[in-house]
Amino acid sequence: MYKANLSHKQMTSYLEELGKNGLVENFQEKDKILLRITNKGREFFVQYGQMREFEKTFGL
Amino acid sequence: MKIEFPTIYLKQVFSKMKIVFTPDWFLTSDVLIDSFSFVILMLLFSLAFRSYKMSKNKSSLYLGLGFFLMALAEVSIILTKFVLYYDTSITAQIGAAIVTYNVVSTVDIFYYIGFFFSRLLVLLGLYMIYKIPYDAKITKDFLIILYLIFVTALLSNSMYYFHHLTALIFLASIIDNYKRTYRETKMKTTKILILGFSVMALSQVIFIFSKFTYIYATAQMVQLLSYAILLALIIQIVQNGKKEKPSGNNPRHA
Repeated sequence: MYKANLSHKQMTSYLEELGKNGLVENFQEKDKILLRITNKGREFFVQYGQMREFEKTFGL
Repeated sequence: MKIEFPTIYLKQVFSKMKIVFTPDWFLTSDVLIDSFSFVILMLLFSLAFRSYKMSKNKSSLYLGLGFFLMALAEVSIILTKFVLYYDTSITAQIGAAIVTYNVVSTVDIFYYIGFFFSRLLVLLGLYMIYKIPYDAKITKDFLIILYLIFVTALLSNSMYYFHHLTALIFLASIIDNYKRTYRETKMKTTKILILGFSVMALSQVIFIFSKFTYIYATAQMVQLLSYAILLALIIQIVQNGKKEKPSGNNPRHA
């Protein structure tokens, strides 16, 4: 949260959006609720990386 | 009555008329190189279109459109050459037309339409790659350029080198743009892109002298090399995009 320079409110809304789109999911481990990237999220991450690389290469 | 028409006769006709500069021993390689170029251009188009779908950046869309137009030009070249080089039913029909009617006009029209569209689409594609990504709007200038490209493609039917000269000018401008981009980003992939377009520009220089059959084959081989470099670029972009950022995959506390 701090690394991304986000407030708690902003982070919550972004995570909700990501969760709604199936890019991240919550899961429980003992008494903690953890967050992980789904396969769809990982796929999106790769495609996003390729898109950034493409646009930077062509100076777009 | 069906007239069987030998392809060899057509080749003789073409060599006499100097319509096709491809030497006989290079006929299949010629079409294969064009097919390879088509695949690479479609891959670049799909990368650009996927980028547009994600970022909604219109420059990506127009850049992709440029590559798509060039890919369509390759289709036009492949279809025209395929029909003219190989023994297909259309070739037989053209053959029948040659026997029955007028040799020059029938083959000429078929050839000119196919190659006119390929030249028009290549120049349009190159212009879009040069201009649109940096100025993503269609202006009045665009219509003037469109007209000039049309005239160039038309003139190139009688003066083939005119097309290669125009393509060379567009390519030089594209290279200049990407050199500027490289100075800002210092990206290895941009360097590969510049190399690819430079080799393509070199192929256009060689094409200008392609009346001599061996030079035509050399130009095609140089063009193949340029598309191979662009394939290396695509692979590099895809691989770099797959690289995972450090500590990006660990579960975090919600």
